Amino acid sequence: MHELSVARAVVRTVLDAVGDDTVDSVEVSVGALSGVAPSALEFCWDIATAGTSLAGSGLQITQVPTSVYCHPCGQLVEPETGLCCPRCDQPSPDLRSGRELLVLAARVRDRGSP
Amino acid sequence: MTVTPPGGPAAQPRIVELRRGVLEKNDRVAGGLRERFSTAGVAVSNWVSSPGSGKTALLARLLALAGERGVSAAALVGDCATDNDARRLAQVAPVRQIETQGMCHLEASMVADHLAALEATVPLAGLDLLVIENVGNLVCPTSFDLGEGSRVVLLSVTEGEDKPLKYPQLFASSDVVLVTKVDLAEAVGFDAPVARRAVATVAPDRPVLDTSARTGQGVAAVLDLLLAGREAP
Repeated sequence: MHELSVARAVVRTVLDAVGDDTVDSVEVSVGALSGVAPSALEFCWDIATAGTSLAGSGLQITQVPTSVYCHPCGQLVEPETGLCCPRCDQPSPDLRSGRELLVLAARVRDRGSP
Repeated sequence: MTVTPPGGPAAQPRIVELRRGVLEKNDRVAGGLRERFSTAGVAVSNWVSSPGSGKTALLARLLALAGERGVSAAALVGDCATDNDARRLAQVAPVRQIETQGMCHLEASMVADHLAALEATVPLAGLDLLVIENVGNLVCPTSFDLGEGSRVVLLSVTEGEDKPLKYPQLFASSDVVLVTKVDLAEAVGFDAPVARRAVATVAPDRPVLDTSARTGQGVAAVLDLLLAGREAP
């Protein structure tokens, strides 16, 4: 359960960027191979934000699927099993997405505004 | 007439674009470590596996062989609690225990902190090989870069051939896969080709080496492979 560490890192990143402004919501992207479970991250959010200007904010998670470039098929594909091309069933080492773990944006208001 | 609400005009919510890595801070520390390791010319590997897959036993064998060959090697070993592993390995090489106090993975800052202590015994520039043994866990260490040159994932024959399919994220992040306890393969009916196919499915083109801490099988090959990493960019 390392998602609490991850949630705290998201909070730190946002605080560094927005200072004291009130945060309504935070948008993150989580790749299927990032090792982070979106549901566990959501579960930790209230704990990680408590006592900060992010308290009560929402967390929007965009899940990024794993994709590889299949050279035999000559196209970008989303594997269903491991890193295997769903067309030819051959695994491809050419990973194009899935490792993402990003804070994309924060929706904020100036401190004191309703 | 304009009515100003208490506390000033209501601010419009605005979007602050960030597009920053969540683990940027860890990655920055890891990047600094990687640079230090590279400058010192030391091959560093991060060993990850489930608890009980035989990381420490294999590491003991590897460090002993390194000693016999005049290769200067050391280890940082992570566990939630106890310094049992460090005491076990201290007979063969300089080692420091990283006790995570219950945390399920190592982070780059923990490596940086304990590296300083290790360097009191042996300077980094005097090392050929440094092994960081992660906390036994097939999930959480995936996301945390420790500045290693190679990530070594271990799979013991007693765990089942499909472990890589069950934990694809970690296996996909590996550079090398070691099959451990192969001396028990026959006794547990381990199907090596099935296991290799499972590795290839989630981690294509990775070197897969059979090892046994009991018989010493594969230990020299692991040492050669890890040391070859020093020449990598």
